[in-house]
Amino acid sequence: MDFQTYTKIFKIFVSKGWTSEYLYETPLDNLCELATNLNKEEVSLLIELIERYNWLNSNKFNGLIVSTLKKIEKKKIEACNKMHLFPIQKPNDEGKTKSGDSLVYNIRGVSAMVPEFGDKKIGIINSFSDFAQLNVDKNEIILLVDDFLGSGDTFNRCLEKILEINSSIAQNLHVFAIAIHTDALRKIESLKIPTYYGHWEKKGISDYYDGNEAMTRVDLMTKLEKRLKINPNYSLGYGKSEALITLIRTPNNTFPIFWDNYEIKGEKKKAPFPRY
Amino acid sequence: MNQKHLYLILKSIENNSSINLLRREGLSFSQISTLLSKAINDNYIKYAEEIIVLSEKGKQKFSDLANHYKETDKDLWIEKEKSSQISKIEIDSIFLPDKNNLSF
Repeated sequence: MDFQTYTKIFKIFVSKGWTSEYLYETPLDNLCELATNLNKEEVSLLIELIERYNWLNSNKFNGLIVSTLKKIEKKKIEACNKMHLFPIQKPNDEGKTKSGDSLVYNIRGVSAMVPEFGDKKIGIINSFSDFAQLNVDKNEIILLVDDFLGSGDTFNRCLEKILEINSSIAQNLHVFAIAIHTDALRKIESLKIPTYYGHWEKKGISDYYDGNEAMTRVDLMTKLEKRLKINPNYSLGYGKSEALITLIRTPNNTFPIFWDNYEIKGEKKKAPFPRY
Repeated sequence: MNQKHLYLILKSIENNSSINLLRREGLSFSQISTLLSKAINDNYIKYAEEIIVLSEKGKQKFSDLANHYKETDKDLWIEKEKSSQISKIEIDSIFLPDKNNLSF
């Protein structure tokens, strides 16, 4: 890699404020290591994607929680005495620690400091079975919470289970996400469930280029994934989401070159934002 | 800042040479970023739209440091590529590379 290419990556890190973040050395070192193994065309695509990349780490979470809570309509907040929080999860994953669990705790803590929510009771729904006994008046808000909603599959399965247990609360359901991908947003909006989010994540290639320009880049990326021996099940991200985002953990909807450890000339290498 | 590292940073920018010039000094990419930030703060280098260039102060510093750090031994100008070297074999031996190590 020539020095000017390196300085382009450096400049992106500086302009995004990443060089002030804890542990920024890992993504920078691993990203540059990846770039040294790519050809010019691939490096140029990598740089385009890093320019669009969102690293919403825990330092930014409280700010995003507050700004997302403030997106809930004033009328609704005024009429509501109690808000219930439930972490979005697949029924099969119940009991496992997921990102929604810690976010529920953070929302409860942060909302007490937001004037509009200061006098509201906040309850946490701990399991699917708790929905059976849940009695809510029409103005109470049930917030289904996750840090990131990608394809919307997890949400759909969670919603189906909730409504199977207690369909009377359908009108109370709302969705809260730190970040949401276009795919999940479309699915949830089609269900007419009010949705509040801090960041809207688009498809990193397909939503930014038309026709041939998009196809050329997608083709380049899929060939690169193959060469790096990346798991083909996650090609272009889970569900072909083409996401460019890392929260506390990188969702598998993100392009896997950013989170899946890869192999080059028989040597295993760490990804820029490794998931494991 | 280590003056040799500063010289190598200035040289890398002036010639747009490979980042390996600094990597061979044992510096990680993030350590190079720290040095780069320091050199920008010290006004040795500046942004010129998309690229980074030496400032007048940087050019002067580069010239001063070159007198001290410029490599005069021509044998060291091009580093030997050792990773592809194999141990010496007899003249009538046939070398078959490991197919897993071939990159073509």
